[in-house]
Amino acid sequence: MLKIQYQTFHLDNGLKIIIHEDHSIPKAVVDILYHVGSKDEQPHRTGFAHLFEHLMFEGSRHIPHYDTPLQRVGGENNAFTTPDITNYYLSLPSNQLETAFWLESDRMLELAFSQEKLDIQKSVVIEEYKQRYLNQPYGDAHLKLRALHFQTHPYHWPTIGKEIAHIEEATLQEVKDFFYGFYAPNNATMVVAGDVNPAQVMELAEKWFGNIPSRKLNKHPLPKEPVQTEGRTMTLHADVPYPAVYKMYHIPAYTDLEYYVADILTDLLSNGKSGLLYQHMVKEKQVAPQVSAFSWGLHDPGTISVDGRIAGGKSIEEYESALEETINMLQDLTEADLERIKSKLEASFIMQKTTILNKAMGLAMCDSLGDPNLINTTPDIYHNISLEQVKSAARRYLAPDNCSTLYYLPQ
Amino acid sequence: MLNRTTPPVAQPLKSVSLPSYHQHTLSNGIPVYVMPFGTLDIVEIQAVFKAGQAYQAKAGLAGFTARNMPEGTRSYSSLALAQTLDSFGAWLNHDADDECVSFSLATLTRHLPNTLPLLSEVITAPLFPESEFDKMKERTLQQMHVNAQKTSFIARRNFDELLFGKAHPYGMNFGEEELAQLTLPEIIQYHQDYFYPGNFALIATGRFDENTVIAQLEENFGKLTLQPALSETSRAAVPAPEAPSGLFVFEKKGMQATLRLGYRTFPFSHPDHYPMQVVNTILGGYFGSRLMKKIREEKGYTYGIYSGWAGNKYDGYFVVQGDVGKEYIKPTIEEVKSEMSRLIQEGVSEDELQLVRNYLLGKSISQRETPFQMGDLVKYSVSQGISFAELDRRFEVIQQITPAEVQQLAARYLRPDGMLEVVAGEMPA
Repeated sequence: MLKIQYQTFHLDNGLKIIIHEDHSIPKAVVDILYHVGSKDEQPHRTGFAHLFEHLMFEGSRHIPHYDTPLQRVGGENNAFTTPDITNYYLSLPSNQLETAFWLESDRMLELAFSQEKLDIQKSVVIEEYKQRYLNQPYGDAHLKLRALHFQTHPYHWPTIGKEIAHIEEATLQEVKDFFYGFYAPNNATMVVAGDVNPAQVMELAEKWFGNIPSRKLNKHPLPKEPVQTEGRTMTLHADVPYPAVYKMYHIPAYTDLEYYVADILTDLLSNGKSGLLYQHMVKEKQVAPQVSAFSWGLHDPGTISVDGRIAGGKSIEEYESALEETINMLQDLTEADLERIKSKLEASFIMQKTTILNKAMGLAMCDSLGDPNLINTTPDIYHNISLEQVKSAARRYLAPDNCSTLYYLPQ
Repeated sequence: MLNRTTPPVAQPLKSVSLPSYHQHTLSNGIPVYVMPFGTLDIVEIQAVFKAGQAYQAKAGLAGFTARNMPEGTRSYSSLALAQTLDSFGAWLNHDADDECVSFSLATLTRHLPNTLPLLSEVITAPLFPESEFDKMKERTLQQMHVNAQKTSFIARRNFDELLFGKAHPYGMNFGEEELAQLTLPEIIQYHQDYFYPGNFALIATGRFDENTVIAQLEENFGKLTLQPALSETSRAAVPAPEAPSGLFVFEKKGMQATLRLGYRTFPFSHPDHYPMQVVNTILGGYFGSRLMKKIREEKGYTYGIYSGWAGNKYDGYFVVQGDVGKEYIKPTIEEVKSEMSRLIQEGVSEDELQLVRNYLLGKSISQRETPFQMGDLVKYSVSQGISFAELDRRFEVIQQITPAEVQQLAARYLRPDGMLEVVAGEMPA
């Protein structure tokens, strides 16, 4: 099996550095993952981690614009926020590597805070909120369902924010507090990958990041989501052409080996044309033109979602009984069915490693789960899952008592 | 004391030339283009047919025919095919553009002997079962009906139709109305007319032994009897009617509107096609573009606004597109026009131009990383008849472009007045 080689170092201020060499093209990737996500927000100020991600591109202590100097040396960058982490990544021609260290270290040192920049980015994020969620048919379904599904844990609110008002009300002081509470070398992992020399990387890291002080982090313990003991439902009416049904089921955290079993369940259900949902609900019963399942692996216990739109002329009852039949079909799976999914997963793990960026991001995400070497051991974890484990997981997780349902209906 | 204000010294950037691909011919005459590439033992095989949207008499024929081909063949049902691909960890996809319909097989190199026959089966022996066609049509109609609610869909459809006319392949859309009129006999006929040996080429990119792959392709495709190529020419060669200009509003209630502004230009073979990519990048082609700086970063009207200078084989168009809050529709259109005028009147500094040249160069390195990206480049080169040497040369040309040339190009080709302006959404009075 393909193994990703890497080295790990720490600076005195707590910054963790992972280096992976790949000299096949003259390109380098720098990926910095901050261990802060929307779960670390206050309930009355949701969407903050993501709004903050936008501000990270609005200039830092000594550098008025983040993007321009990077583009000037042929680089590109982006970032994303999840409930658990915020990840910033850039790629550039490998002979320009130092520019990445200069840029990233300055914004870890201190942002250039201003009311004007905050106001503009609030407006941009509000447009993003509309574009992704509010102005699309069914766009807010998951936002609504999460709130029903997670009643105590901060996964209750979406990364974009529970409501637009929370973004509108964010203040400059809160921005500053958030920075000093979460953006710190001792709360970050930096992966440097590609056409790089480890000795040079360490020298640059020491030079640019070495004198950034460690900070006292504002981490607080998160409330645990209580075990759900009976099914929950909610109904919503909106301007959509067909009824749709969204379901979420609680599953273990990504750090639990059981997560991988739950994940393989969703592959068995939803692997394109060979998935059971497509076979039974779309083709056989024709209750849905489209139905899919995916697992959401999170640092705390996450979910499996099953989303489907109801076919014209079919009822919600017909849809739900077909879904129940499909879930029961998981108990009739054979070793051959499981082997096929494992072959597909094995190939996809290899295909995912064709780019330096994917490898760097994979190392960073695995590190945030506790061990960068998960990038190498994950294929084995899936390989060792037994048919009995899969069936047992299906019975426990895809149970009505463990499920929250949103009925999204036309007006 | 570390100086954090001054950037590290930038190293000179060098462009990297494309690796070459080799042409072979199977014993029956089918052309094969091969590029060994990459460090992982994976391979992509593409079968590229001259059967794209420019050849169809009715919207959707090219794409929907391709979609139906894996839905039951001589030896495999739709499900059996999907399961067999899974068992070897392989993917079979299809894609229809203006000129080509291509099927691509992505697989581990060691499984190529097992998976190549599946690709061959799909392209040479589809049965087009009626029940599969009917179900797919019904499902797709419902998905299209949902899409038709989106402002982005409404804007794109109307923009294309206004720009090129509904009868022209470049203006033809495939939506609910068009699919409702598509029949199984038409699909079968399209397959007969265009998906025959003699009308496709094979492309192999990835890590493999070249002779072994040629032998495997020979075994799977070399015994097919070639039919003479159709003399039929592309329907896109017929010039489209002149496009209207001015504002067209397509009402759809919602918080945001999608804007598409633009006009017709010229085909990609035009000598200014590549230089105009630089002008377009400056204006709206990347995250740091003038449109993004002004309309997102200064005004906060949008999450993203981009422009494109697109060249088809027989025509082309310029487009600016973005989703904006409904209260920002008119100010956004004004800002777009003003940025276009500013580029015409003031041109670009050497500094900004250097940044854009470097950005394009860095991007080109990133776009040449995987066998799949290389497969796309070989497909582009083969189907459009542009050699890699010519692509390298054109890339060199845009690396040499001067600020004066950029301004001349902007003045010649940017037309802020008299654009077609399509708005899908709720236009405030």
